[in-house]
Amino acid sequence: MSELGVKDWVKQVVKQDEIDKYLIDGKDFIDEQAINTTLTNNQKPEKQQVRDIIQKSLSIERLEPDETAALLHVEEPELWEEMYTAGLEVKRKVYDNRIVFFAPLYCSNLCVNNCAYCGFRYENKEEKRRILTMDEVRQEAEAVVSEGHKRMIVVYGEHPRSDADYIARTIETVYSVKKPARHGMGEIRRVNINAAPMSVAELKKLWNVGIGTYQVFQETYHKETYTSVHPSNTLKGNYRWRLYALHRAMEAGIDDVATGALFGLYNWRFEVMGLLHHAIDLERQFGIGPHTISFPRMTPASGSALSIGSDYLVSDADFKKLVTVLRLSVPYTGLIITARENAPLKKEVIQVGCTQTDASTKIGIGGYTEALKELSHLERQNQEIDKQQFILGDTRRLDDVVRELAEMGMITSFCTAGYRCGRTGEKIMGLLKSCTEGKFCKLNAVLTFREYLDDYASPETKAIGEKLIEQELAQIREIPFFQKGSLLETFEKMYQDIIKGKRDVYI
Amino acid sequence: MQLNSKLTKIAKELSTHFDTEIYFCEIKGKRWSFVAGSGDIVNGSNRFQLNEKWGIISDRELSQRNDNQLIFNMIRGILSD
Repeated sequence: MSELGVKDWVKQVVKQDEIDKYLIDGKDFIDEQAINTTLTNNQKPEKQQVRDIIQKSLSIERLEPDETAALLHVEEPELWEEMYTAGLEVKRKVYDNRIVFFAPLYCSNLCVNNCAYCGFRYENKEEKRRILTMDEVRQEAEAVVSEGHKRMIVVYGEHPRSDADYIARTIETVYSVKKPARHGMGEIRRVNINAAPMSVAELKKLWNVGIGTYQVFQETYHKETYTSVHPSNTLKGNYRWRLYALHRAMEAGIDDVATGALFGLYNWRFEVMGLLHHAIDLERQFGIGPHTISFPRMTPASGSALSIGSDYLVSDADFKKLVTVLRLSVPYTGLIITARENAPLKKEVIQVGCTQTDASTKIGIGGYTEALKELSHLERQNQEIDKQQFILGDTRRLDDVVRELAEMGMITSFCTAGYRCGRTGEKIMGLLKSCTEGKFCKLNAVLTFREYLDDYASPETKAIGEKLIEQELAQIREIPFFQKGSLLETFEKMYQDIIKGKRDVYI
Repeated sequence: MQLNSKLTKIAKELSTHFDTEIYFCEIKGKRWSFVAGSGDIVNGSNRFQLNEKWGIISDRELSQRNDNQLIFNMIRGILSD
């Protein structure tokens, strides 16, 4: 961690030349006037126009701003139903039938920023501040592994004590964890991080320890709103430093990057356009769009009146619509819906094309270890608003959510194959757009689901899971793609190896 | 010639020699990041680590016979430059 005092550390974070180099004609890629004009010009799309746009999405082509704006203004319920159906179909074409699971790990709520919507804001004196030691990170990761997770997103406040060096050590610590399962050892095989914007030099430290995805949410793309919720005398007050965080990550070699907006700060249609323009600029400058897009909705947070009283809070119905439009607009990207949302809504929205979610989630600092100590089933009552960034809507255990998805015919995946098989960055983007990557998703879902059923699943989940896995196997054996070369033979052998107790086999 | 271009050229030649598609990957922890290749690999289960930093992924297992070791040593030399 940094030896500098907080004020000196803050002063040296932003590198202006690492913003300016990505501007085009001195401007950033969020042209608010253009976005508003596009939204205005597409307020009454014709039915056939909408259907043509849906067909473009189904061809797995990223939409243009006018097309996304048209979808955002659809009013007919029948058209929305067509869009919901198309969203799921797009997702199935690109990513097959699987939903990938992960667990978040909040390592620290120390923060130099004062964001109006966040429980971590430094003026929030009710927040109990804590930063995990490496031993505590290890214990938290062990608790997560004990549930059956193989993937984590590790989250940090922006502070010198949780700088790039600390983050790198936490990544290495999480990767080092091994915990006995019914067969072999459980472990985390992919560590993604959600952290503050950093310089290229700092990002290279994360690259060197094998980071998965680097996630930075712009929160809001609307500049006036951004300024109003992120005080200008804070690091996060620098809009463009944050806006180009993922560009710098690409330059540092991190070619799996993730965008997001906090819905509820400003007009949700504008934010969807912002996310689209972000994807377009990453494609333009690096040839690679975002690996995933997230869309957290503002929920009550400690010390934040805004989190309850904003004029732009998004209804459940509009939330489902914005996710659908994102799905159709950027067909190749993963979409993450989290446990911020309650279980019934999550179940509904997953079916418009989400690809990832979390479960058994604890977002308090040290929350997993404390939950194990309490062994309480009344988990919502045990959420501590003063240790968490926000309040969770879905506190169910992983096994329960896995079973629910299996009942819906969706297979849970803990796949980490892509980034270990060279399917990264530009390579995976090409494979996603050609709907080839989804074939590997299908195989690795079966392999990792087999591990879960054998090592962690309850009897009830195993019973339903076995039926689902048989269906998936039957499909795999019929699909022509898998007849290529020795692929099917390799997969069948791997599947049998897992049944015999071998672990971490992937294609 | 930039390393990426060099590796793409080598990958294509290796692909002909071994009669399989080849990826060159940079290794960072668990991550094998694609750098250059000859085409799209279907069966990515064949991974061969050249050294601490570099690995090859191929559609079929690469024969480790002696004459191929010469090839791998030459590549290691290029990657170390």
